[in-house]
Amino acid sequence: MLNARFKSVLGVLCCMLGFPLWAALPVFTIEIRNHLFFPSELYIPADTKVKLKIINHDATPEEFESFELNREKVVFGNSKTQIFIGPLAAGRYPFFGEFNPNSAQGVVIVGAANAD
Amino acid sequence: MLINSIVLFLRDALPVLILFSLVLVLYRGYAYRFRIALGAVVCGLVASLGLVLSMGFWSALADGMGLELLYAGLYAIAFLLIGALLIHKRGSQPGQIKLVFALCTLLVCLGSSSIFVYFLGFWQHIENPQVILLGSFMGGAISLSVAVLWYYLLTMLDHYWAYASRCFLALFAAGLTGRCLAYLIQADWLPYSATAWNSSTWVSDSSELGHFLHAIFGYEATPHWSQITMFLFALALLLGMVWVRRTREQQDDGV
Repeated sequence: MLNARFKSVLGVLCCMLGFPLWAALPVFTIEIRNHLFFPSELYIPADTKVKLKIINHDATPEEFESFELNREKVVFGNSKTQIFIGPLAAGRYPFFGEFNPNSAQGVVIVGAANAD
Repeated sequence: MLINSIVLFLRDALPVLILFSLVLVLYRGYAYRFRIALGAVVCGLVASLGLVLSMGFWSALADGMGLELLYAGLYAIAFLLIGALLIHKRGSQPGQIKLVFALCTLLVCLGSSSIFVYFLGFWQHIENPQVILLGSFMGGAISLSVAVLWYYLLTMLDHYWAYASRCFLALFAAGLTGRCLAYLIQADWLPYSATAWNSSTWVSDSSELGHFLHAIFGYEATPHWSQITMFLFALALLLGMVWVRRTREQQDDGV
C-alpha cells in the first residue's frame, strides 16, 4: 500500500518536474521534397536542446545523416519522424541525405542571431 | 545513384564482413565454419527483411524513438555475445558455435537493414534500377576484397601471436558500444555530451580510410566524450578478459 502510494507521489512529481521541460523544448521542422531539404539552412539557438521534426514528402525513403551532429535517422517516403539535437555550441553542423548525398544537403547553424 | 550504392555498401556491409573475417580466423580449426557463416548470412538477411517490413511499427514506439532503442539494444546484445565468446576457451563446442551463429546473424541483420530500405524504397521509383544493382555489386566486391585481405592479415598475425584476432575482436566489440550510445543519445535516453574532438581534417568519416576504421573499431571523426569513455571502458574490460583467458590457458598447458 505504502509502496503504491510512494509510486503515485513519485509519478506526479516526475510529471510536474519533467513535463514543463519537455513541453518547453523548441521544435524545428525540416521538409524533404524532390530529394532536397527545406530549409537547407536551419538556425537554432546555442546551448539549447531542440526537437527536430523531419517530414519527407517524397515517395522514396531518405536517411537524415550528420557526422558532425552524430545523428542518423531513416525517414520513410511520405512520412515524418523526429530527433533530438543539442545542446550545441555555436557553429555550423552540416547534414545530408544518405540516399541522395549530392542533392540532399543542408546545415544546422547554431547560435545565429536570427534563430527562431 | 551508382556512387551512392557503393558508399552505402562500404558503410554498412564492410563492418559485417570484417566481423566475419575475425570469426573465421578465430575458428579456423573448425571444419564447418564457412557453412555456419553462410547460414548466418541467410538467416540475417531474412531477419533484416522482417525488421525493415516492421520498421513502421518500431518507429512509432517510445514517442518515435522505438527504432533507436531497438538498434541500441541489438548492438548491446552483439557486444555481450562477443564478450561471451572472448571469455570462453577457443574451441568448437556447440554452445560457442551457437554464439558465433547468433552474433553473425545479428550483425548481418543490423548491417543490411539500411541497404534493404534503400533497395525497396528506390527500386520502383527510379528510371534505371540496374544502376543500383551494379553499384551494390561493386560496393559488395570492394568490401569483400577488403575483408579477405583483413582475413589473411589476421591469420598471419594470429600465427605469430595466437591472441591477435581476439584482441581485434575486442576492439570491434568496443566500437559497437559507441554505436549503441549514439542511438541512446539520439533517442534522448542519455544526456548529450560535448564532442571530444574533430579529426575530420585528417580522416574524414566519408573517406575510404574513415569507412575502414569505422568497420574495425567504430571510428568517428567527431565522437562524444561519453562514447570515448564507454569505448575505453569496454576495450579495457574485453582485453582484460582476453588476458585472463590467456593466463588460464597457459596454466592449463603447463599442467
